Amino acid sequence: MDEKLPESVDVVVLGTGLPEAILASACARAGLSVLHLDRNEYYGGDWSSFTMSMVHEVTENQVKKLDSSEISKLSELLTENEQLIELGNREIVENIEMTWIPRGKDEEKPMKTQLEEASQMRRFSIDLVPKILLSKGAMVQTLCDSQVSHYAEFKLVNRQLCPTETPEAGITLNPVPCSKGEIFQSNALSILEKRALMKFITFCTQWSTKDTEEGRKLLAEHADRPFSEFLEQMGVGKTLQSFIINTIGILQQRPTAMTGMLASCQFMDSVGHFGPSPFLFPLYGCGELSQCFCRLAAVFGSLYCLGRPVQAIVKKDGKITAVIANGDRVNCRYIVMSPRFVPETVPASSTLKIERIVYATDKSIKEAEKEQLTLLNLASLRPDAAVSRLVEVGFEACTAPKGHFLVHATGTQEGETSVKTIAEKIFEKNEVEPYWKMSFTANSMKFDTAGAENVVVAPPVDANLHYASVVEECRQLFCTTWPELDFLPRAMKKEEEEEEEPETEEIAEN
Amino acid sequence: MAALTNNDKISYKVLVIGDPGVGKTSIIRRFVHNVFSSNYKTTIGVDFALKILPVDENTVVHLQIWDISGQDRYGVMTRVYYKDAHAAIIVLDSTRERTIEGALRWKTDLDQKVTLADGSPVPAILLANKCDIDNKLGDDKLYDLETNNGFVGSFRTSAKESVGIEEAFKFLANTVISTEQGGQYDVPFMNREGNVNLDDNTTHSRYDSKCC
Repeated sequence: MDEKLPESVDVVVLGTGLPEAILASACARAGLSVLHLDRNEYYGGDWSSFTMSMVHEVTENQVKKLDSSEISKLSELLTENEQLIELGNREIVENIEMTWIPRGKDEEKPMKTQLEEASQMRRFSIDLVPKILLSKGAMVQTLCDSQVSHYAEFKLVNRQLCPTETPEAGITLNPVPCSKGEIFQSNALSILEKRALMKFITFCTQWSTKDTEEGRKLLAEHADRPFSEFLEQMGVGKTLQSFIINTIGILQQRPTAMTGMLASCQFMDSVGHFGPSPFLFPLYGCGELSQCFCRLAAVFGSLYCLGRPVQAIVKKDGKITAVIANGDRVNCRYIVMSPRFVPETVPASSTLKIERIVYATDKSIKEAEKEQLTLLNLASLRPDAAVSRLVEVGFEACTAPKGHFLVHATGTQEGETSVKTIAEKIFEKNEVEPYWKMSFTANSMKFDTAGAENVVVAPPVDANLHYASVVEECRQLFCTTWPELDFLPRAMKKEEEEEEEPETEEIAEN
Repeated sequence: MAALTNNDKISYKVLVIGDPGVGKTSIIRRFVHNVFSSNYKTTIGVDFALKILPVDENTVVHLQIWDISGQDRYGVMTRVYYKDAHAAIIVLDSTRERTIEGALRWKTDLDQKVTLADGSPVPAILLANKCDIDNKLGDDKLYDLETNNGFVGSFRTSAKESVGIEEAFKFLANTVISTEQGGQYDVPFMNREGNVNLDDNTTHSRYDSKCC
């Protein structure tokens, strides 16, 4: 495909990751002309999801540097005082290892062969960045306001498990009740524990009606001390403390009483909105959301061009004036780019390393009559780490063939124990044998500047459980860059383009 | 997919895909509004055009005709666009031979992303547009393209001269109706038990009273 790109647009967006897609849709929705480019032939960038047949693409992201003859050729497109700047190719996803794991039970025929013969390889949707949505969180709100919600469906994450570990029994996975009904029916909690939990929930309900200052007063001297201390003085025992901190509090890492209460209220506010669980997972995986926002951008006039090599940007007087893609020059007033593309000369202000492992299995970590979407907070097993969690999703979420599961382990790199170690302990305890796995490091790179005043660097991949910070960062970036425009305003109910009488002027053209 | 139901109307989702400049949007506009404008661009902010089409004395269908909206610079579409599609129209430009190759690439992309319940491709027809202009695409070649690539029909069309378009859409509508009668459309995902649609008020009302 060698169609010409437009000569000039308001905004060029580089990369189709979720933040870039959100920003592209916000720009197009606000009436700016947008050209959205990606070197890859698929949507999603570092936020992609892949079928099992296509997942090798994640390792084939090699872009060679421009050599001197290429640079001089591209320089012919420059005018007076303009400077050519090569785009970066940061290692956002690195140390990728992917392997099929031989199993005794597959001796006759390897699982890979079984899946290929049954045409099941494309039934997988393997996420690089698996997250969940909070039912009353910022992402759901944005999806509904913009009506991008039309393009997506979700499943309740209908099971939360709280792991406990003892030397004798190893790791036990305890189901966690979320709603009042579930609490009363739970046999994991004693009568006393149920009463204490209901008391805590009642307190949360009252506390959430207070303003911040008043709320802080109610917590008194506990406000900035560990949440566990506050729970203890409320009469919550150690086991239930662990449940509350690890489940209700999963939204807040290492909570103080103040942050733990805020997270708990947020959790409870979402319970019951779409179902008994506060959490949702996108059908076909999280990479689908990038496509949803891209569709909105396209419907509002954005042009898409995938698989096009994006080579360089052009700078003049401290501003970017153009992008060079496939030898074409596209003039623009702004650039939005994935952190991946920030020129190598610009230093990152910080980089957080996130450990990620994905396993494919044919048995759930906790068998149930009906298939569950499962979330585990592993914080109690990795107290030194900021983030440790497991997400198990399968056929019900359209991320694996029937009877198969993907288990996503995510952790920040602190302490002696890795999330990989814990995941594999859980597998061993529950007789789960993965047949495939992929591990990699995701680098969450932040930039204070991108080297020019009209460049917007989209938020990086992160280790957060849900999407609130991504959405809010996109909103901030948009409102800072285009203060006079609305960020994905609440849409009027869209009228279908009904059959109508032809306009007079149109007839005249025939 | 069973037919989309909305106020008792029977709706089918029809995709229109093909390379840039082959006339996809002009075809839609001719069919839906019976006008042609070579300067026409996709309507901003609209996913699809709706056409009410009588297919015989007793049957009327509503076609949701989805345009690509600027996502056609490379032959890869979002699954979002393809989701729950009942049928597709793939367009080539009779005067530009390379759009033939593009049409076949679009067909491959379509078949990879959406299937009938038994795994076979959704019905797709091939339109050779701009047939009013002198071109080298013969009937034999068009028929070969149809039979060798899994199309269920092919038509010469001109959006400008209003040639072949009505016939093409009626053919496709009849094909979709017989495919549905054969039970080949899955229940749309949004109707499957347990799926959450953020826009669905009935889902919300079932949990209107907060559990805790």
